Amino acid sequence: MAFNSTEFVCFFLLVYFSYWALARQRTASIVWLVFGSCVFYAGWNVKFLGLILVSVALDWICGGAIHRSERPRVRRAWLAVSLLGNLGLLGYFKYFNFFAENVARGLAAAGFERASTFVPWDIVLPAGISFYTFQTLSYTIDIYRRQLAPARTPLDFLLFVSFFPQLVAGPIVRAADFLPQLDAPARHDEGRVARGLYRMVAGLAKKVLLADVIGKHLVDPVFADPAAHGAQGIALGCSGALFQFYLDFSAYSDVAIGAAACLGFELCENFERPFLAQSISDFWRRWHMSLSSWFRDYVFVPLGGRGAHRLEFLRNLMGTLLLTGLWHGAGWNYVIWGLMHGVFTFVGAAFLTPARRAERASGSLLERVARRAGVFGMVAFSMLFFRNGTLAEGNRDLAGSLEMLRLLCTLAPGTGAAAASTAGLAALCVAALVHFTPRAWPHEVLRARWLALPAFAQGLCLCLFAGTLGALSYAKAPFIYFQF
Amino acid sequence: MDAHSSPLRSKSSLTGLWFLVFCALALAVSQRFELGLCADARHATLRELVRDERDAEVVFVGSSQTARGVIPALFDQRATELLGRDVRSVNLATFGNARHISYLTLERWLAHHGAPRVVYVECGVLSDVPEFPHKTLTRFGEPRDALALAWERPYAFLDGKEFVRIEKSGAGFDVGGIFRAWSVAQLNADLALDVLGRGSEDCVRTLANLALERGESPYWMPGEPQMRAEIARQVEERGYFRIELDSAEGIEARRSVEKQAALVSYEKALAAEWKGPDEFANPARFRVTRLYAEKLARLCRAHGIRLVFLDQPNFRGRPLRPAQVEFYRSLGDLFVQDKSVLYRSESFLDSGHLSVAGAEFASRALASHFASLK
Repeated sequence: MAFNSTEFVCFFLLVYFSYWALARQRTASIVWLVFGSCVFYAGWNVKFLGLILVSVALDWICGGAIHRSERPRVRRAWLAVSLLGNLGLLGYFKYFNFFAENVARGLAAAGFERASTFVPWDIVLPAGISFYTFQTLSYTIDIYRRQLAPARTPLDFLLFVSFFPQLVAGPIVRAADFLPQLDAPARHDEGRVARGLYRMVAGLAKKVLLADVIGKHLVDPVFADPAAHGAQGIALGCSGALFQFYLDFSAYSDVAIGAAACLGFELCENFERPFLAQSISDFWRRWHMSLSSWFRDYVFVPLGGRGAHRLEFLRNLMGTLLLTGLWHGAGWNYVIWGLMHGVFTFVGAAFLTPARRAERASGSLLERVARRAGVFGMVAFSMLFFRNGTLAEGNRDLAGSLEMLRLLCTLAPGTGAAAASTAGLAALCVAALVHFTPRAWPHEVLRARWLALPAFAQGLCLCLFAGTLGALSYAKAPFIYFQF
Repeated sequence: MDAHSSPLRSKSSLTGLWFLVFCALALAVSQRFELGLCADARHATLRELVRDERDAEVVFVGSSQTARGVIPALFDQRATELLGRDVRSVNLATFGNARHISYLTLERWLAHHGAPRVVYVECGVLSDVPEFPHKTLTRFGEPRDALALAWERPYAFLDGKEFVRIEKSGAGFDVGGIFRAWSVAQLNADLALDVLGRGSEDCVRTLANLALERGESPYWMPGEPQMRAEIARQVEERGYFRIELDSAEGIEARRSVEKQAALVSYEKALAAEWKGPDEFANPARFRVTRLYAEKLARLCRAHGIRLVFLDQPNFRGRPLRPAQVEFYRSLGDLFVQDKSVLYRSESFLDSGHLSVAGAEFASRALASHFASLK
């Protein structure tokens, strides 16, 4: 059930009114939310609901056992069960074919002819598995670290994992942030609900009016026929792709956070104007924050963090960003994308002394703009691999990326009469303008005006807005991050 | 304002209720003025025909094969000559290949017009598709159709891709078919909700069209001035518009005809009989095609209309399956076009649609068939 569908609007209104009608009975309201979340997920694939339940049962048992036991060996054993179970499921559904194909290719190259006949298994990737697996993993790891007490009831834990706004594409919520919200009685805060509703609408507008227009009119043509567009077109296409991904995914996060707010829950932020970053490390503190902080806390820091010397830092950083790349998809494009970010981050961070960092913070406007442009350029360049990864079935379009890289490096002129469309460029300009202008404008001005409208005018605006989204032919394009 | 107000009486809840009220109003306006038909790909023909108060003696329904393949002006002229009295026909075929849409279009026509004497309903190898909905379906539905969709659950697959996947690898792990049943129920409920949610979309689109056309037309018009000029020229000259073989679109479309002509010779195509398994004989397949053919038959019976199924050919393609022929004959008449003429390459614009010459021949042949009906 996509957020940009009539089905979701009806579903959400039903869940909203019923939830607040039941809000005084806490258990009943939680049961209702769990039921609603199951219906929401069943809209993708009802079969994989069972997989969520298996994951929940596994981590509920493991979390409880770790919490109850005082013996380190037993605690470690239960943690291992949780890690193996969760990563095993994720590995099978998401990575089996990738690794099996590459092993088969390697064996075939080594002379084992039978390996060349390997046919990929017909494995369907369950929606949201990368997101909810990371949530359940953080739950058991936090209990193991004694940073978290287990959920009070299995129902609470089930809601934490399956809560529909964030189930399919995040943000990746931590149990320490979510579970305490279930302890307090639900109270309807009109200010929060109104802001949540506005955020949902703003997110959908961002997705349909900007992300999809940039994607359809600017990015898709370039990636479909890069030779016709030449190096200049590819550079523009990569920049467009970066904006498209940002707008698309942050729009999903906006709808998720807004929907949760309407139901009285607070989810963590996922984006903080990433193109204002002055270094790649800074970029990762602003982009998909719930994922980058997850990898920081559960991979990078346990590996040793910055370590005692630069080589150790390089190893930990490359390992973390390689896994970040693989998290997005099983394909060499994502591996290369992750490694590119590793190299960029290392070069930017390893030689930055605290004195130089302080100097940077007080740099002139021109310096800051130049640094931001540099960071944007590097990340846009990496989209060459990331965007192609999302194109091909099985994410295997490495050859396409390398060809684009060749065209870019040789500054190849376009061979066709291809030109960027006005609609795509206009949407890109609007997106850039909104991103780089101070936060007070236009979001807060628009929000204040929205909140000042009477209820019937808001209802009329929503109706016209829904009609506009529907009338745009590409209004039903799925959110890109669903495939991860 | 009380920060912790009563949830169901809060301003946000009222906003939600007002939103539903406005959506319902928009749906009512859209239904009243047939705004869903403003977006059809026939340059506004369909809605104008449906809103025209004049009755017709013959009505054609079907897909783009019939929309392009039957010229009412020629049909009327020939039928009038043969019968010695005025005959008026309308071609309500849409650019969307689904029997369900034909049913809804005819139902809508009958709600505002007297019953025609004959209804021709397109059938054929390309027209009879497995049970996935055409993307334009929800533009033709009404609230009662939404309820019927949710209740009858006629569609089994989201699209052709899903159909092929499930055909190829099966439904997989499924205890007692419960997962499949859920998917089917959910798909049809989704379609039903789309029908109900279209009101505001239709209103916004029509307002935008009116604004772009400076208040003169609620329709989305072809953007290129030369296209408008070409339509006007043809209508002025011969009374109807069709894509010419020597136009840019025609030259592009001809490639599929040339490809098929290289694969199948004229003689071989004429002599072809159905070979291989007859999937139409399997009652679990083609459910939507069967269901809405039966509904069309019931609708025609209730209005005393003679029902004729019209086999629309595709260029040197496969003939109707034996089970299809038997099925359609059990519900009404079946008229098969003369392929000895239509299988010549100049009769087709592309492999699925007749050219101007093909449509002119087919329309006159249909008129002869109509005149021969007792």
